[in-house]
This record gives sequence, structure tokens and C-alpha cells, in this order.
Amino acid sequence: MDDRQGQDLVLIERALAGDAEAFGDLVSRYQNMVASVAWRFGTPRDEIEDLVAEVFLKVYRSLDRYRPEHPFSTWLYRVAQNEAVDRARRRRREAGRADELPETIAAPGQGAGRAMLADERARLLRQALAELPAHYREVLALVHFEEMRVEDAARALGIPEGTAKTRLMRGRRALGRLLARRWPDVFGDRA
Amino acid sequence: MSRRRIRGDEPWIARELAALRGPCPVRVDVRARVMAAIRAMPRPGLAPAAPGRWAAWAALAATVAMCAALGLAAGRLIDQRELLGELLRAGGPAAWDLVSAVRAIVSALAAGAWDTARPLATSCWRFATTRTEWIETGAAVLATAVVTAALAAAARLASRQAAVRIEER
Repeated sequence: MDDRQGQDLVLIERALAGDAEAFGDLVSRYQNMVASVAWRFGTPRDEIEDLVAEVFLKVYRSLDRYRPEHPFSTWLYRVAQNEAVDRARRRRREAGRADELPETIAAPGQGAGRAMLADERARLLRQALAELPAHYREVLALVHFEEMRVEDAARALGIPEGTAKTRLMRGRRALGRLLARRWPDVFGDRA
Repeated sequence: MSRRRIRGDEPWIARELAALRGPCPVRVDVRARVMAAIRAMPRPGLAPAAPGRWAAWAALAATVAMCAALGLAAGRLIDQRELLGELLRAGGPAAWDLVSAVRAIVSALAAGAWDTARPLATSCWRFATTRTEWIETGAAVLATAVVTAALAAAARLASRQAAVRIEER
């Protein structure tokens, strides 16, 4: 167990004993990590703060169920990811077809157009990620966003390294297929 | 399609995902907001939902026990009806209930009619035994009700204590 993990554990124990400030320290320590997860999973800027607060309240309510075998940061990452994905789904449902993504992205001009296209690609990628099964999404996020090595991601998730490798491979493949099938004009040439 | 592609190793996906890696453009500070919210919340593990859940399980167990006891009681009632029939068959119309059956036994014994008194006495004994079981079943139902009430009271007390602890915080 590294230093940070040990400190987290002490803060959790204090929070469970009724020290609210200790939980506040955990919030200060991890709030920007949670915000990053929200951002990567397509949460709009104006909703990020709400999401971060909601994630910490959820974590606080279930803090007594936290098992110290896995790092607190991984548990928090998972809760944040699930919350971001749930909100993305809710947003899409509420928006209905009006917010459905276009089958074809209009050909942009040079410069600003290229940036727009990159933004659009990122948006579609986030949407596709949110639709992947959680066990693929978790490994992909840890390896590709957090730049963890596969063995570290496996340890953080509490799964064997072989399982993490398989999920990573299948997750990439599923994501590739999903992108190419849903938006062939944008991703079809890559698959 | 290359062998690598067939195995699902999609380098372009890795590149696409890497493009999302940039830092979050929004800096957040929700500490004060979260602290204000958690001060109004029960401490983790002390949520009033826990005693409520406990009481629900207790109530469920008590209901099952009561149903079993009532089922048993209904069975006993049927036995009793059968035994009353037996009494009538053994003692005739005079033995239409336990008291009259006892009276009939006494009369038969006084008359020296042992053969009449014996089956009547046997039926009476079985009837009385069944009545005892009936009382036991009633006592079991009563005990279950008392235990349920005690559990509900304990759950309410635990819930109130949790609320007091939250207040104290």
C-alpha cells in the first residue's frame, strides 16, 4: 500500500468516526480527478461541478461499504464514471431524437472547421464509450486516459492481469465496431 | 484485414482515446458545498434506513411465524371437529361436547358400563390433549405478536438513537 493510499485510509476511518473535515480533505484531494472523469465522459462544462458534488455525496453515503483491498481512488473513479455515463444517457433520453447525432458531419472549411470536426469526433467517441459495457469502459479509461500500465489497471480493479488484457482488447474492438457502424462517415475509414 | 486487426488490437482507437486525454478545462471546488450537505446527513453506517431494514426483516420473520402458527391452529381445529365426531359416535347424542362427554363417562362408570366408558374416555383424553395444543398454539401466536412488538420498539429506539447521534454531531 503506497503513502497516498494509506493517507486515504486514515481519512476514511476518521470520516467514518464522524470527522466531517476528514471527508472534506478527501474531497479537496480528488475533486479535480472526478471533474476530469466527468469531462472525458462528455459531461457539459456547466454540469461538471454538480456531478462532482453528487459523486462525493454518493461516496459519503456508502463510505461504510468501502473495502480497503482496492485503492479509494479506483473506487471513486468507478463511481464518477458510472455517474457521468448515467447522466449522459439521461441527457440523450431527454433530448430524444432532436439530439441524435447526425449520420453525416457537414464538410467544414479549413482551420475552424478542422477544430469543429475534432470536437465532434471527441463527442461521438465519448458517446460510444458511454454505451460500452462498464467492464470494458473501466479498463479502457484507466489504460488510455489515466495512462496506467495494464498490470496496474488490473490491480486497481481487482482483476487478474490476463482478464484486464482481454477486456482491453475486446473493449477496443467493440468501440471500433460501434464507431464504424454508427458513424461510418466519420470513423468508417479507420476501421 | 491484418492479423493484428483480427485480434482486436486497434491502434487507431488508442489514438482517438488519447485525444480525449487532455486536462479538464473546468477547475472545481465543491468542498464547502459537500461539507454543508454531509453535515445534514446521517453518518455513513448510521443511516436510519438500517434499523428500518432490520425492522422490516423482523416483521417478515414474525409474519411467517404467525402464518405457520395460524396454519397449525387451523389444523388443530379440524382435528377437534373430528374428535367431536368421535365423541358423538362413542357417547351418543349425550356427549355433544366435552362437559357432557365427561358426564356420560361418569354415568357409564356408575352403571358399570366399562365398554361404553372406555372409548369415551379415550376420545375425551385425545380431545383434551388437542385442546391443550390449541392453547399452546394460541400462546405461540401471542408470543410471536409480543416479539414482533418488541422488535418494532427496538428498531424505533435504534432509529431515535441514530437521530440523536446525528443531532449531537
